[in-house]
Amino acid sequence: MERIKNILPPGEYFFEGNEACAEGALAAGCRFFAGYPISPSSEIMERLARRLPDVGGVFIQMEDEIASIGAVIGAAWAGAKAMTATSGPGLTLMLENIGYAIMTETPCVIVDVQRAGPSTGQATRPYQGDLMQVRWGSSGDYQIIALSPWSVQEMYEMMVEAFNLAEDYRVPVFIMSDAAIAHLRETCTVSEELSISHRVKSHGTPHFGTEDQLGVPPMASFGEGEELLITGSTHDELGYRRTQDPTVQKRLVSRLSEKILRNARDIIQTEGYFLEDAEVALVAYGICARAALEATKRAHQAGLKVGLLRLKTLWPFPEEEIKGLKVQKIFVPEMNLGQMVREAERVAEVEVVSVNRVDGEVITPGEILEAITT
Amino acid sequence: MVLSAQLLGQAAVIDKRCVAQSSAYGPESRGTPCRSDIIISEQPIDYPYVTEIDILITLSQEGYDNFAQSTKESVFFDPQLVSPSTHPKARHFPIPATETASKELRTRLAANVIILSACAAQTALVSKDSLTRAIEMTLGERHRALNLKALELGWDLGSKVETYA
Repeated sequence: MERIKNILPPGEYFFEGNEACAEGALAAGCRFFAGYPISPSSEIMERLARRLPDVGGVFIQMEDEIASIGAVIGAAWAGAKAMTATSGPGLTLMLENIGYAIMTETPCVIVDVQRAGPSTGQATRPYQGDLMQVRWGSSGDYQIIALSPWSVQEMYEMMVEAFNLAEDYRVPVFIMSDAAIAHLRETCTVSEELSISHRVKSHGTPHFGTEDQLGVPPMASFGEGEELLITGSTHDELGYRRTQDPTVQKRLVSRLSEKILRNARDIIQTEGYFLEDAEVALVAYGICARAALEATKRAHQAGLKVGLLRLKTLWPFPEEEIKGLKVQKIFVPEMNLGQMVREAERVAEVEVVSVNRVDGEVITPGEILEAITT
Repeated sequence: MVLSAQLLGQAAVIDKRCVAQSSAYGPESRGTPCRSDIIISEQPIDYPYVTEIDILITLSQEGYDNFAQSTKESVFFDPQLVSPSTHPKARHFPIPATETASKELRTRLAANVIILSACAAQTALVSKDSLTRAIEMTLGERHRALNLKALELGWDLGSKVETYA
């Protein structure tokens, strides 16, 4: 981590979520964006198309989504901090190369501005339908990191965290935004300095393995004089294809997961509100958690012992935090038919109830409160 | 209306307040009613959408019919576009925004900033300096002068307007 000066003058800005996303990326050191426009994410690429040349970066509008993530992977191996932004249907088109990024341990940030689906669904309406797509969309066993901002301010800050995590763990990091956060305009305070992670370099050492069998290897770039072999097929620590060797496959697939899971305590971030004496807990993320916080406060005013566990990290899943909730019942409000609720049920030791809204509108505090009280 | 809300929000941010602004419209609904919610608060804002309306600004009858009765404090409307209820609940302020824009600025397009500025002057939601700066920061050179004139015209109307009886 290094403290650096922000490229944006410090102060109070009135950004929409997508603008804050672009500015946060630039602050984090992102100097390459490739993407294909899709509502409700397009303002991210529009802003980066204007801003990246200002800071010596490169912007490319590609021919489609899979080419976009392909370009991002290439840019990362050329040494850049790189990202793309899309929505659920676009993410689906990227999945093959996202698997390649996972297998080749390519640090990158993928912003998913979720909209109602399936398929092209409702282009401009918010939804939380991609929780499982980012986790399980590609083939095989792996772990990724996914973060979800609940405000414009947090969108800005989380972009910096996402780029840092991508470098720290050499993994694609997803930002789970949605149409509501994307187009919400809020006060965004930009600080004078921020902390950023740099890519770890180590001349002459393997790029796909460490002495520690479950560690994160250093990563060279093309042009630095290192011998670089990069493949989506099973490979040893030097990058050589070893597709017939069970030991190599086992070691690689274990490390790809464990490099994230064994650091889950450092990666996972949650926030608790009124949980000390709560009898009922809400577990929520993103825009849904804003409604949940308001519902929690209204419940308190009515004398109900309700608390909120707000997830900033969605993957790796905050299992310990949910398991540790000392309540009698957990409600999981989500803008889908029930995706996170299954994860909560898997780890919780008490009854878990799903609260849903699936019409492409943002869930309201009143709906959540009604679910708790009936 | 979206631009007005953005200008109001930007002005409130300059005034060091917490702001959340959202819009209900889509590319498929150009030319149809559009609505923008704005919350201005001294405290951080939990739920960023308006659940109870304190102040309504409307340039359409449909907007008025949908929201005026549930507005708690003040309704600012354009009498050329809206026929208000005969039993208004909130205080009503008629602002001839479209007429003023057409006459004084030769374009109806500035009516939104006129009525916004009138509302700001009457309610002291944001200061005139902040609203001026918000226009300067948000709008490109081509539209800046026109909207700054609209601000002056609206501020004048808002300072003098009497409650609709």
